[in-house]
Amino acid sequence: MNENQIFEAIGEADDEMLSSVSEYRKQKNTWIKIAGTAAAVCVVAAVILAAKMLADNTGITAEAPHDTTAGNPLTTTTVPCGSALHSDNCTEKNMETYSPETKAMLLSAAEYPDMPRYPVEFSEDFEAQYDAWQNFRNEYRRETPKDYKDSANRFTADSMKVFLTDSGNENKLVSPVNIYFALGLLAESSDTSSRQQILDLFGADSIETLREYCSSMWKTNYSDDGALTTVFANSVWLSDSLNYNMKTLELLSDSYYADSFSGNMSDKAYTKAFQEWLNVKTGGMLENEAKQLEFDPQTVFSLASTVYFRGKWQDEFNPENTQSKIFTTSDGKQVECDFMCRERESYYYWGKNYGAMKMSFDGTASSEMWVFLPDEGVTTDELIESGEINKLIEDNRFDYPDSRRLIINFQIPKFDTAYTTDLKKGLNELGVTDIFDGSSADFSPMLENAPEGTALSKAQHSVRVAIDEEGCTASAFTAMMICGAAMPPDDRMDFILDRPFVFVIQSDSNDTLFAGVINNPTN
Amino acid sequence: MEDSMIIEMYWNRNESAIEETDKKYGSYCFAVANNILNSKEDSDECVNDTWLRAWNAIPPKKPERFRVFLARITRNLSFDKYKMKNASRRKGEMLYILDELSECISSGSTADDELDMKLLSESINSFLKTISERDRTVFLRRYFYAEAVTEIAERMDITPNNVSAILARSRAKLREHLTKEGFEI
Repeated sequence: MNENQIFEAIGEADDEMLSSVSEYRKQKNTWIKIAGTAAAVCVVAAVILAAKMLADNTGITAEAPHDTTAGNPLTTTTVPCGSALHSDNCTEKNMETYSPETKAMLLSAAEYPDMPRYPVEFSEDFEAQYDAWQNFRNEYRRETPKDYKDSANRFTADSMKVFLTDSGNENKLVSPVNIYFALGLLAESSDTSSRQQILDLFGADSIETLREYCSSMWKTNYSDDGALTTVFANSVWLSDSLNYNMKTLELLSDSYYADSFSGNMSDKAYTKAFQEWLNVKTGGMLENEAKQLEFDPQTVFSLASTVYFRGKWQDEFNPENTQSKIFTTSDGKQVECDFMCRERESYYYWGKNYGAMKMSFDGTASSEMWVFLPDEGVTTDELIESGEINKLIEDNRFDYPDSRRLIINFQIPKFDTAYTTDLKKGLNELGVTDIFDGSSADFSPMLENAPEGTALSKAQHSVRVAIDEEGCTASAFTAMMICGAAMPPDDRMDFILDRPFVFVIQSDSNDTLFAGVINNPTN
Repeated sequence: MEDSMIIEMYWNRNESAIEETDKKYGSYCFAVANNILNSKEDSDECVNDTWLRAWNAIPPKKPERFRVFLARITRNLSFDKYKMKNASRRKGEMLYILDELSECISSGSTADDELDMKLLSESINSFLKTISERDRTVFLRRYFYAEAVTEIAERMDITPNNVSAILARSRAKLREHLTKEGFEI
């Protein structure tokens, strides 16, 4: 092959790509680059309670004295010192920000990848920086198992249907990857039907397959390179009065990057350490939600999983013109909120019952936030249940036929919304039931002699998503937008999210990190 | 005149179609040709050849994006002409462009007659879909439309340094993509 042949091959570039080149308009100088940010975070904490008093089995009572200051807490646990999980082996990078009290309860800290920074485009050694960055990504994001995408996509579709519908007038949020990891941890900690139901939900034929899926999900989405932040964290919280299976703990540490801690479940300091861990891993975005999570003496162990995301819009907005406008909520109420606006050429997508657009985050190829506006007369529930959203986001969107590049006057309300839900009902609907039932739950991989009646008693999922930007373009259109199954107009249109809409935040590997329904941006 | 009307004229075998095309897209196609050929005479010839090609292609074709349809013909005719020139007569931006593209392959690689150009085009197309819209726009302006770096910077309102950096990054990615796809580079 020579350079002439490459030049000739480029001559066959797609029509659509070529026409977008000539339409890519010079941005006006007045479009000052302002950092637009999207931040989102989510916590799942599953606490396992013994149905009977733990004291019956262990002789420990809620009032059992426990001196957290008395030397190495490991001496009070049954975890053997010198094991792979001993804190001597930890890389403490991940633990730097914790208080000494929390560190004292740490058995093992996961080793996080040390990702090279995203290259500075103007720098002299751009090439070297780029190589380092790219090589790491190639090495880290090795090939994923062939069924992984199916599993992740199906779970995204399922969890959107189960956790985002029936929203009434509230905003609902879900983080499919977060629940995926939390259930992965649970499957590793359980056995027989408790485990099988989770494997079935994910379409994994064995625990090893699920482990590979979780590993792929972590590696293809994790990013902490200064440009885009998508950071996952997992942890296991053990009671210092029980015997745990070291093999399982090691596995959770190695395959799920889980930190593990040991302490007295009755001790307030242990709960505090737990909350601190959650807050550190979620950038403090969910402090109120973390406060509600407390251990009690009956807690046998607890698993936590977090996702923290931060991105900057690739296309910025004029800072001068954020407009206060009316948003009509799902119950017809009119609320006033700040709309971010811009007018530029973008792709507009449409399906049977919606119109959609995406906003890209800076730094990587295709990490983006999609917004879906149901057609007039279609509810967000109907849109989600129709599965139309998933068709678009799962597909290679370049091959999606119903899209057109247009000048779009785009207006979206700012929002900062949090949502907490108990996953139990939804997981039951998805076929995960036995782990909640004290007579069938099986935690033998974690505990050889689990106290009788141990079951999952709490599965709290908290999510917060905030999008924020200054300004919008100066011009605004007054014409009512057309969207939905109808073809959009030829060259320009309005796309104004002034009624309930659905959003999806995808990683640059096209996995769904967060999804939500916004019924009232002022909530 | 609307593109659809011009195309209608081609379909009706109305020779004014060429005149209308020239009126609307003559200078545009000339710019595309001149980027590659850097010669008024040669570029004029390529633009005239483009009209002939279009006349022969429509019908049966009914191009949806007429402008791109024409640009592609002009570009490819111009490059054919460029290759026919003696090495000593080759000048202008194309020298740099081909030099840059040679970074996507191993040094000293020669033309491969066995190469499946269709596969290569498809592979490059799929690569272009993986990079950001901005990077793709810069890439195609440079390697499809053969525009100068300063011109791209001006059009997109970014610095020439930034354009060069984006191009370097895209070439590195393309090289890697082609290797992964099993092309012998």
